[in-house]
Amino acid sequence: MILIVVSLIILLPIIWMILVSFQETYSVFVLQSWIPSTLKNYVDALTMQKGIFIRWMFNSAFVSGITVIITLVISTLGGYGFARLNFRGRDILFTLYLSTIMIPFATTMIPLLYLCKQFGLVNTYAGLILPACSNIIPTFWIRQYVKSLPIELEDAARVDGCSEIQVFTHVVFPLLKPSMGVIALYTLWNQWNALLWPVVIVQDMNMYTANLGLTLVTSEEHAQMATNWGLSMALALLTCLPLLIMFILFQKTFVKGLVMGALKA
Amino acid sequence: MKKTNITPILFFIGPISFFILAFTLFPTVMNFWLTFTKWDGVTPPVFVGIENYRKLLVDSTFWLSFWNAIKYVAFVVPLTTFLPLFLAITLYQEFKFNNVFKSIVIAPFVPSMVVIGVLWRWMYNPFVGPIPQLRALDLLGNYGTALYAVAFVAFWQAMGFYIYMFLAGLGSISPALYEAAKIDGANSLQTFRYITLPSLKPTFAFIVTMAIIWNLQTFDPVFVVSHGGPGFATFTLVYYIFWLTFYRFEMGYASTIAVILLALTLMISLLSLKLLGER
Repeated sequence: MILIVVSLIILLPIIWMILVSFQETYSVFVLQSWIPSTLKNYVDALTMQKGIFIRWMFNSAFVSGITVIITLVISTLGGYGFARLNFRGRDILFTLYLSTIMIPFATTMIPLLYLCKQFGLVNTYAGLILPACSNIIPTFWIRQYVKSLPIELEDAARVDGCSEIQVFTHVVFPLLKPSMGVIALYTLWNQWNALLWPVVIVQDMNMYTANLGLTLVTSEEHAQMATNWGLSMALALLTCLPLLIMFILFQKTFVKGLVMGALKA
Repeated sequence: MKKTNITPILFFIGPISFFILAFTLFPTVMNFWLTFTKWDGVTPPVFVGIENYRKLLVDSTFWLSFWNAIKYVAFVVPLTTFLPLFLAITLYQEFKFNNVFKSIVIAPFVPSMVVIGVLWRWMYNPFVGPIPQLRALDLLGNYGTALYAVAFVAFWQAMGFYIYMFLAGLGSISPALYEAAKIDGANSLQTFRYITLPSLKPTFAFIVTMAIIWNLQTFDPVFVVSHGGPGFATFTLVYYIFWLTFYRFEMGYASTIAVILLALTLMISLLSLKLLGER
């Protein structure tokens, strides 16, 4: 029924894309047949411009990885702090932070650019990583989750003489592992696919992320690349390959992260 | 009386506070300041009062971007609310290959819009695209259709995401309601009309709001699929902000548009909260 039609509409372009990546690019009608014929496009992708694509993939991996680590640290600490610590103005402060989800990125983009220029963060890994960590949603998730945990466990630890920090590291943190998995995948996915900020903060081609580098196949300046559709598709598929692998391995958690990541209300 | 120990507070909420304050809150405030300046990104900003706002009122490209954003939203949001709803209802029932369809449908959402955009640039290409009818239409080269061609790509990618959102909403309906309907002898159409649809109202309202706000800020599809072209035909608000920053170095003016965008977003959020509250 309609499901099959929809699935075809989704699948066909993807299948074509894969097929094209395995074919020689001729000047007219790229999709010659349904039979893959060559690996040349993939070789070209990996060796073009002295292997710059590999550098790009490394950049993406490094930037995404560090962002995930930083995000996990600050969100678990912050989520616990806002859930369990009592201090004046705690909830008002959190509501203020939470309100930032309503701010479109375009509104902070230009001042961020100004700040990064002032601090020499243009074309740097730090420039790519740090602004991306300013996201209250993971902290929000952890806070929700911690609030749902029975407080007796923590109280027991406190009675045993643990400091707040120890209560966190020994009692609460181990329980956060499933949430951390969701946050890790969500953050990884967001950073790997980021475009607007990287394109603004990075001009040095060596510092491009894979996603950013991929946009070159659409630009007019690199017309030779743009008309080489086989190469374009190969590059595109290589760029999203790590995410696809993550998706296949961790589908349930991955999707949970995607869906919850958009729950802004 | 226990003195409030400040160390744990700083330890726990310090880091996240640093990031939020430094990279989101402070820049937002700074954006307002920038709207009263002229800045090219290299030399220090120059104070110009409300000139940027005056410029905004007569800037035809701004109004083009503004109406494009509205048209874009008007095209995408109904698509992303009705079709996924029906598909979600179909997928919600347990049947063979259910999970296969679910995986297929969310697959385009995993890669970035750049990957998807590269695919669709080829699909739409008037010389080498795989579908002859699309080649003949040259949707991207045509001033009238380009914006919708771009919007369709965004919809194609996000359809699975919206289906999953509706699936989550369907999952939150209490089974007791369905049982009560069954006991009362309702058939499936009646159950759908009187139980399922009303229960979905909050989910639906939420998804619509989210879709509007998200699509209002669209950038990636425009950048990859059409570069704002042909001419300025596919310029949207955020793309215009980017273009002003990157190609015209008019960052004070771009900030002004960003403020308009913020105002729009806040208005829509508040409006939807109000409407939701009444339900």
